[in-house]
Parts: sequence; structure tokens; C-alpha cells
Amino acid sequence: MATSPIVQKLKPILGYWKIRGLAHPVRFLLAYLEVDFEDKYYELTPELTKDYWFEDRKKLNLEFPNLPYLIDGDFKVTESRAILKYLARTRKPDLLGNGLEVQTRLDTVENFVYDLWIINFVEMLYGYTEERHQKYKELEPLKLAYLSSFMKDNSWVSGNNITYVDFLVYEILYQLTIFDPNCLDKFNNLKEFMKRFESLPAINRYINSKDFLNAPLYSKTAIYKI
Amino acid sequence: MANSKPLLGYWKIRGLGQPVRFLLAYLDVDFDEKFYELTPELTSDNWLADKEKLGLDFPNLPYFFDGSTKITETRAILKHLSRTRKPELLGKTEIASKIDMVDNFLYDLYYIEFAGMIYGYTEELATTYKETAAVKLGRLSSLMKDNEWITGKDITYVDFFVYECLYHFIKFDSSCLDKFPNLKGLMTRFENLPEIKKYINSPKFLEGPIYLATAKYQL
Repeated sequence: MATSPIVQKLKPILGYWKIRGLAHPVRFLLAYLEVDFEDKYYELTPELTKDYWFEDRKKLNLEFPNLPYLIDGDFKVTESRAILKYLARTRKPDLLGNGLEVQTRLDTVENFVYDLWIINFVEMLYGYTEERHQKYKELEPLKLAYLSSFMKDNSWVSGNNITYVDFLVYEILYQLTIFDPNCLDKFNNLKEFMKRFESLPAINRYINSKDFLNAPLYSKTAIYKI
Repeated sequence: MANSKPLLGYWKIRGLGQPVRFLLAYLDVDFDEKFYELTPELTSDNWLADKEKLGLDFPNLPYFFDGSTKITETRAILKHLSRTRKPELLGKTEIASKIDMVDNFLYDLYYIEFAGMIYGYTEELATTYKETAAVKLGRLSSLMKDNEWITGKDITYVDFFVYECLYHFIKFDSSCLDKFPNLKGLMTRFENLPEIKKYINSPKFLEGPIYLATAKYQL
């Protein structure tokens, strides 16, 4: 089946806000997989509305229109974790984890860290109040302790092999440390994990490249600016 | 110990435990249930007394003990059950991304928007939710098209999650699926699966409540 030369030249497109947000794990994975991709940035209008995104959204034909999205040839996928797994499945299936036990562990960690990230952390930033911050401050060390105990002295979340979940966990920990630089003080293995991730050759190159978006973490519309 | 039945621990509500109960019934697994209830003062003390002693990596409800395996996180449990008892429920590779998308999309709608509204109910949240739900249920309906199940002609683990979410949504707003007959069809089809029908009609089945007594809006 001949593929048109135009299709072959199309880079995958990752669409997201011009922030780290939920897309950074995907950007890191694309870099790790050495995929030459286009980072399509969306920005808020001067009035801080999402109109530029809404205009594009009508034309993209996504089943669940949302950011981030990945357009890979004919295939379109949304939901950041679904994108991570799609990339793993199509480029490096080992990243999904090998064996039933490992896969169950990965599912558990993935769901657990997602709740910490989105429901506890990000919801707090966007709707910031002192009260929510206090609640978050109580919860965060407990949850990080579970993660730290789970990882023990393994190199990666599931053991000795890197998987898609490591890309998620790295970015989450990065964001948490930007909000509170001391949050990992009691968890050396999590600090080591971050350094290990940053030292991966492809990741190191990406972080130091001109294409790398270092900040901000979230939108100007978040009550807590970060 | 080796012959002990699997054990599901959860609140004595439908909540996030029900999809797991349904899947266990569908798979014909003989399981034990540990029901947790709030104290008369509506605290979680009964659960907290157990929480750190169960050997769970990420203590939470629901939890599931299966031989020497201990898991938390609803969807992780659903997938573990599929993986170990009926791998077809994970779906064929071609639709794996579709399943992931539905799983993630629905979880956000259910947990952040719906459950958040139920627990912290205000008129404003309810109005916002209804507007969001109309759009998002529309997407789910469009994705399903005229398939029997959410991702195609074969049932997958995510249908167990979809069914229970739709059940909750309808309890809150009985007309929310009026424009989406295919989603209503999925619910009927699910309820008519022989193992599910048997379970729903059995004394073990927990019909309600859906949420904890601490929810502002009682469902």
C-alpha cells in the first residue's frame, strides 16, 4: 500500500497550551523516542479567553475534543495518558511494562499519581484559597510517602525498566517541587529518580535544546500563578 | 490462606466500587466483600482504623485482594481482573487507544465534575455540570455510534465503568440521556447480560445509596 509522500513527511502534531501543564510528559516521551514532532502551541486571547483553541477545535474532528491532542498521520488521540500509551504502543511497547504484575502496578501508580496531580494539586492552583492550600499541604506528604515507599530503591517506578508512567511521575514531581521546593526533602529516592530521568541522554538534550518550554506550569487564568 | 476468596473492600455504597462488583459478577468470581460504613458522627474512622494495616501500597477504597496481590484504584482493579480472568475485556490492540480515551475522559467527567458537584453541591455547580454533561455525553454517544458497546461490538472493561457512571448521572438528572438513545441502549443491554441480571436480582446486590451520607446532595 503506497503512502503518499505528503503523509510520510507529516510530523506528528502535539496541540496544547503554551505551558508545561498536562502535556509535558508527552513532550518528554516524544523526545525520548526521538520523534520529530511539531509542538502546536495555543495561547489565550488578550482577554484571557480560549477562543483561538475553540476556533481550531471545530476543525480538528477529535472524538473527545480537548487539549492536549496528538495527530499522528491519520490517527488522532486526546487524553494525556492515552497519548502516552499510544506512543508507547506504536513506537516502543516495552514502555507499557512487561508481565501482568508489572502492568497492574503501573495501572495503580498511574491512577494514584493522576489523582494527586489533577484533583489535589492542579485543582488547588486553579481555585486557590488558603484553606485549599492547607488541605493540600496535609495530604501531599502522605501521598508522596506512599510513592516513595512503593519505589524503594528501584531505578524506575515499576522496577529496573523505564515505562510510560515514569514520564508522568517525573513531570508531576517537577511541578510539585516548583510549588514547594522542600516537598521531596524526606524522599531521597524520589529526588534521585528525578536526576536519573534528567540524565537520560535524549531527555538531557531536549531540556537543553531551544525547543524546550521550561515555564510556565499553568495558565494565567489559574488563581495561583505558577 | 491459599484458598481464600478474593476480597473487595469498599464503602457500603455503589460509588466507585460498583463497576468492580459488576465485573466480578460477570466473571462469575466468588468473592467476599468488606463493607465500610461511616461512624454515627459521619467520620471515616472505621476505614482509617484499617487503612495503614492492610499492606496496600497506596491505601484507598476500593481495594482488592486476589491471592497475594493487593490492588487499589478502581480502573487498575478492573484491568487486573480482565488481565487475569478474561483478557478480551482489555480490547483488541486496534481499539486500545479508544478504550484509554473513554476511560480517562469519563473519569474526569465523573470524578471532577459530577462527584465534585454531588459532594459540594451548590445550584451554580449543578447548572455548570448540566451544561458540561450535555456536551460530554454527546461526545460519548457520538463515539459509540450504533455499536453495542462503547468502543465497538465487543464488551470491554470500560463498559462496566460507563454503565455505572451513566446510572449515577441518570439518578441525578433523569432526562440526561434522552437525546442519546444509544447510551440508554447500552445500559439496557448491560442489565440484560445473564450474569449481571442474576447479580442485580440476588440478595448480595447493593442497590444504593450511590454516595456517602457526607455528600451535600443525597443520591
